[in-house]
Amino acid sequence: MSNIKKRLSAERRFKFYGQVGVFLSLLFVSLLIIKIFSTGSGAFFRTTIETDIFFDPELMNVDQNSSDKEISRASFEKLADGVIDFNFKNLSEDEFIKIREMYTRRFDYQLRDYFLKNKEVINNTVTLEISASSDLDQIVKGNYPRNVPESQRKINDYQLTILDELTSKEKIGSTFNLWFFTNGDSRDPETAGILGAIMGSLYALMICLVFAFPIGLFASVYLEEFTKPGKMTDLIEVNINNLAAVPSIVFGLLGLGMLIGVFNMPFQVPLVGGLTLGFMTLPTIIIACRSSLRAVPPSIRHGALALGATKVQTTFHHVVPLALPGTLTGTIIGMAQALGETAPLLMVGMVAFVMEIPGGPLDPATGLPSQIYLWSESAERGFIEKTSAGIMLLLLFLIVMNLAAILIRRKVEVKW
Amino acid sequence: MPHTDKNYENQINSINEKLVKMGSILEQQFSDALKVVASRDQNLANTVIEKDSLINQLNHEISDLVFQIIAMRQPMADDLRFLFCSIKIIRDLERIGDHLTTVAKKGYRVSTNIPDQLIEKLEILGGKASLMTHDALNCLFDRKIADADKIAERDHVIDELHASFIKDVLSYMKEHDDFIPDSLALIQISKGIERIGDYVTNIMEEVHFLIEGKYNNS
Amino acid sequence: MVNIISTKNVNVHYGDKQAINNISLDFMKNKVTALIGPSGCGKSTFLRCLNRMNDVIEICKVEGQIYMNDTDIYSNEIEVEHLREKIGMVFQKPNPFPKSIFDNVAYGPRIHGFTDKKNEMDEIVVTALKKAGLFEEVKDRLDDLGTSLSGGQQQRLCIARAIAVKPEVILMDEPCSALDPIATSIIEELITELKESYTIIIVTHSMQQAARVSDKTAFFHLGNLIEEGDTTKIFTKPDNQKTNDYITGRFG
Repeated sequence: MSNIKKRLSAERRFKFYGQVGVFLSLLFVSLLIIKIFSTGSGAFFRTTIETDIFFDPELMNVDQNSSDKEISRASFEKLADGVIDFNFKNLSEDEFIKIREMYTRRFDYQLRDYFLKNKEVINNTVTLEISASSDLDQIVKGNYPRNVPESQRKINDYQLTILDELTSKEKIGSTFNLWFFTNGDSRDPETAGILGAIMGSLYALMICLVFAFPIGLFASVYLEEFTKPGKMTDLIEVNINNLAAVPSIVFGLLGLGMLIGVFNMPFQVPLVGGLTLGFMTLPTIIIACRSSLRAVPPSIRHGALALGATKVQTTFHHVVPLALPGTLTGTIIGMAQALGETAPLLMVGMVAFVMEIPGGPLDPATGLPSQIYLWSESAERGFIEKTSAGIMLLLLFLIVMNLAAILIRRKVEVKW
Repeated sequence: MPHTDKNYENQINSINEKLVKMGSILEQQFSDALKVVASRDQNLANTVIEKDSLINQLNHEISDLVFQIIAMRQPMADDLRFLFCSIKIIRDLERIGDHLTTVAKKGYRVSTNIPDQLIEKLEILGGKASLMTHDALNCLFDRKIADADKIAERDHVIDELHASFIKDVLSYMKEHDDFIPDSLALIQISKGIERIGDYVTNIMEEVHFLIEGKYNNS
Repeated sequence: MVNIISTKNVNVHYGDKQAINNISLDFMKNKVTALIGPSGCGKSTFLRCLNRMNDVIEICKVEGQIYMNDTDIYSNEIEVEHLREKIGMVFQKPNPFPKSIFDNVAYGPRIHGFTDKKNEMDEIVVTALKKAGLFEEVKDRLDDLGTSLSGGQQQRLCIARAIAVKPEVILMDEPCSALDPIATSIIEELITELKESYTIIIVTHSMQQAARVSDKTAFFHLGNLIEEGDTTKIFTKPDNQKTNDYITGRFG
């Protein structure tokens, strides 16, 4: 009888420990998410300065009749300088420079992009929201302290005065930073975007999937269904299991040595990065697929064989479809892992500063985690929030991929 | 080899034991009934008459057991043949018991005036039938087929002895008028014993089926 | 009274262990033959030799001669897929494919290329389901999953599936052992009807089932064929004492 009380209290204690564990994990996860969100949310907004732009034809080399190509090639620097004169009268050269520094270095690009879409604005004045420079952006967001001596600040006293003036005139605004999603990487934090890295990762993952999934599937089917059990098969299985535990940088070396060294594939492209990730993901897919194949009961195979189906028919009409949910789940999880890898991409050069957005798997690119790493290494303050925003995006993709794994599994799963 | 299911084994054994008991009571009844004819002992006759109820009771007990086993056990092969034959055999045994009762009933009422040679002949008939019954019961429990067929043939002897006895009784009756009730009784006793011989033959046919799985058509 | 399958001196080994010991047994056409015997006596192993399902087991080695319609089924000229078209099999635990009822039955005809016309295939499926006594119960839901049926219905589906490829022989390995008594008697009734068109060889643990359903019975013990003959004889007066003892439950 007393035994019951002991056992019940042991039960309760165990449950309690479990609950405490769950609570603590949720707590830490929440703290992590809060920290990242608070740091990263700033990246989605950028400070703008409301400025009057006079599209002075004399300061421009093009007009409304110029072709898009000519406009893209033309320089709008002079126009940008002219705008500052237009808005701030009687500046000394030093003051001019300081005010110019308050605007983004890409001022001229912004003007050009606007003109490309609105060529009729020539000789007219419009009011546009021009991006502030990263330093100004950070001061406005409160990431730089204001009350320190000038030598310790990125913004000097004069710029602060202008800032306060503009603020009082309500010309300092904040807009949703679409550039984060549409631009490639940049030296200037305010214009740096993540699209290049996303496309790079996307191409790499696509290549990885197209390479690893069919090979993984057929290799598993062959090893599991068609080979006779023996020392050779056991050896292969042990090797594959071990490969799944090999550090990812070793696959990077493989990519470097074999793909780039022997096959002379180009450096820094998603094709090579994707293949390297494919090598890395292959063991995971094979292991997931083999265990799914093993889980299919022999009675299904016997049923098909007894009807006169060949081994191949039995395998592909019956066994593989039943093993597909498990295989897909394993594949998607493998893809999610591959998405978050930097080390293999490092060796094939995909961890580098790439400004252009890659148009295809053969264009130089970088990957999402690599981009985050590069930003985190940067000296500029503006990249801190970008790093956190990148992490948020990466986490979002991982969650989406894992959800997709669950949904696909549910849809494809057949009850037997 | 016993049945794996102990209860089943016990049930079959129980039927066997009851059959053995029935057989041994019948043998005793036979010898007592013949003694009644010889000594006209009324007490012994009453004992025989009362003991017959035991045989009937055993008949019912065996019948119930067989019925139960058939319902619950789906008996096959030798078990099936044993049970099938048992039902028929207990019927025959019960009838033998009834006839022995009749012999006892009639036996003690026969007057003391009957000539000794008639009694002797009756005793020989009874003795042969009793021996046949004894051998038949042994054969049932030993399951020896050769004996079964041989024993069945002894019925001819019984039938002849009975026919001859009837002749003798009838001829004595012609000469002695006051002998008619006795002669009727004697004829009934002899007839009873002769019928017992027939039943024993039936039992041997069943034993043949029990051992061979088919009846002896020769 | 012709023998459709005859076997001679069949020996089967699993690795070093001998499972079937020099068995010669013939099967008559359009009759139901039951194989009975205690667990591990080799009856299922023997059954699987007849449609070469033992080929699937790596360590299993089959020796001896097995003839169907006077053709050696182990000869190199025989394609095992064609053999299995002629000799179908129903397993102990119903194993319908996780596809629709229709596709379950149609699978065999499809892979053997019976027809590509939809209406012909429909007819094949409906006929097979009718013969298996299942059509009335599923005619409105042929697209439902085969695995959504009850145990007894699933087994009849497996029978329909086997019938659809027009076999000559149907092997049944304890087909009712996973079913309730009513489902069992439905299948037994079906077997009695099916023997008009097919030869049936059934392995069963239940003596009563063998007695109810079969014309001929063979008793196996420790890999040996102890006795075979008419079912009535085996169950009323078997020749061999071992047979008698097994049937009456003196060992098993």
